Amino acid sequence: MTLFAQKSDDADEFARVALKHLDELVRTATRTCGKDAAEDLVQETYMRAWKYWHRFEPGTNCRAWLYTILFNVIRKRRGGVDSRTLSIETLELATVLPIAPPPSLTVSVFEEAFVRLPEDFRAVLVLVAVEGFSYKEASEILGVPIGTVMSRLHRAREALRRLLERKPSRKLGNRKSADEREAL
Amino acid sequence: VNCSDAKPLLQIYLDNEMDALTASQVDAHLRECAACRVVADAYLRQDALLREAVASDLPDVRALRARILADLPLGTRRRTAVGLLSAAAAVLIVACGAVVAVYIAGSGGGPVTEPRQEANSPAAEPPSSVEPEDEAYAQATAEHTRMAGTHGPAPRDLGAMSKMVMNFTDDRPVDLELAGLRLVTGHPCHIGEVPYAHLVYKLPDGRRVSVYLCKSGGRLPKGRETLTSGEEQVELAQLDGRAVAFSDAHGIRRAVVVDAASTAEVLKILGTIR
Repeated sequence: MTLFAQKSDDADEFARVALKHLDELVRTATRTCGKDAAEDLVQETYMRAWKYWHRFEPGTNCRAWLYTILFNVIRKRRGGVDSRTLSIETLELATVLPIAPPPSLTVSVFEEAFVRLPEDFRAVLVLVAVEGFSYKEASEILGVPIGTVMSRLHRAREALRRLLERKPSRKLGNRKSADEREAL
Repeated sequence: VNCSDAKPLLQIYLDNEMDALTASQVDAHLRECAACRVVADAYLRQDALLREAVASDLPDVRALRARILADLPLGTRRRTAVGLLSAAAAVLIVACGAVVAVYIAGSGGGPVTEPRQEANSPAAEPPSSVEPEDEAYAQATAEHTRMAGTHGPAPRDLGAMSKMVMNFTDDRPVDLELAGLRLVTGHPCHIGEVPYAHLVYKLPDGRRVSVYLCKSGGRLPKGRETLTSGEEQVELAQLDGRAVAFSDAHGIRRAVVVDAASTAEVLKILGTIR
């Protein structure tokens, strides 16, 4: 087979096997790093994946492989900042931020709370709770020990609960007093 | 297992990350304990809301998919996705002596400019990416339905499309992209029982060229039998007894090429139609 045919077969296989995960990667990148950055991150992920496609073993988990590349790209772009330190600080900020009272616990309200979580927390939540990766897979994708995945996941969920719990209570309190003032 | 044991384990249990023995103990506790069920339900609801929130308002990935395809380097030089498909299409012509039907959909019956000249025109759009436009796709699909009748699987799936086309490989890749043709969309289809690849290209002047390719088993449509349900057709030109160009009442122009030996020959046919 000629070089052209071989390369074409590779590209064909790459498009068939790797590109079918595009939607999921965009979803994860969007929720982890924001919409503006997501497309570039995913495009770079696929560029790297193509570059190293010859190392991918057919039959192994292409999706997890792509996610690992995606988070390598994210880490590289973040550039040397210790994400764990950053996360803890950001979390502290997030939990003390004043939060406007929500109309109800809707998806949009939930999303609002979710984006207040630090990036590392969003990443692990999306990987495990949304994309369905196991703790072990998430630890490999994120390049952290499985214990870190579990603790981040626990803290992320707790933080989300705290953020959400604060909203209705404020809302009820404020509305009630406002209604009472109106009644008077 | 009591409540204080179970509560810290609930989320791990719900994540399905627990060993079977402990999971069965938590499971047994949940059946007995309404309070822990409430907590577990709240956890499940939180994850469900999270999935819903994460799935909402996501960017359209079609343009990104096109960019990624366009960045795929093929052969000894970088090719665009257009190159991938069109080169393969041309290879198909060369490799298989295939029956190739080229349809030129002209809006007002105007002349088709010589494609090779258009490729060199400064006004020509760079054929840099697949462009799955809705309008173009709808037009191609309508045309396809009228002509071919039956759709193949996974329309608009250019990955599957390229696989189908790339099954035809040859060491003489030729490139329709050089003619200034820009791939708009494509999908596999059947005409009768014969599998075809349907590729729709756009010329720099905006008109579209619909190309149906088959590897083998296809045949030239004859006269009124050709793909337009018996409407009046005018023969425009013949080329070496191996290709015929028609135009029908709807201004759809069509060139039929048999045993094309090269891309140059396909380009010559396109030039003949003007």
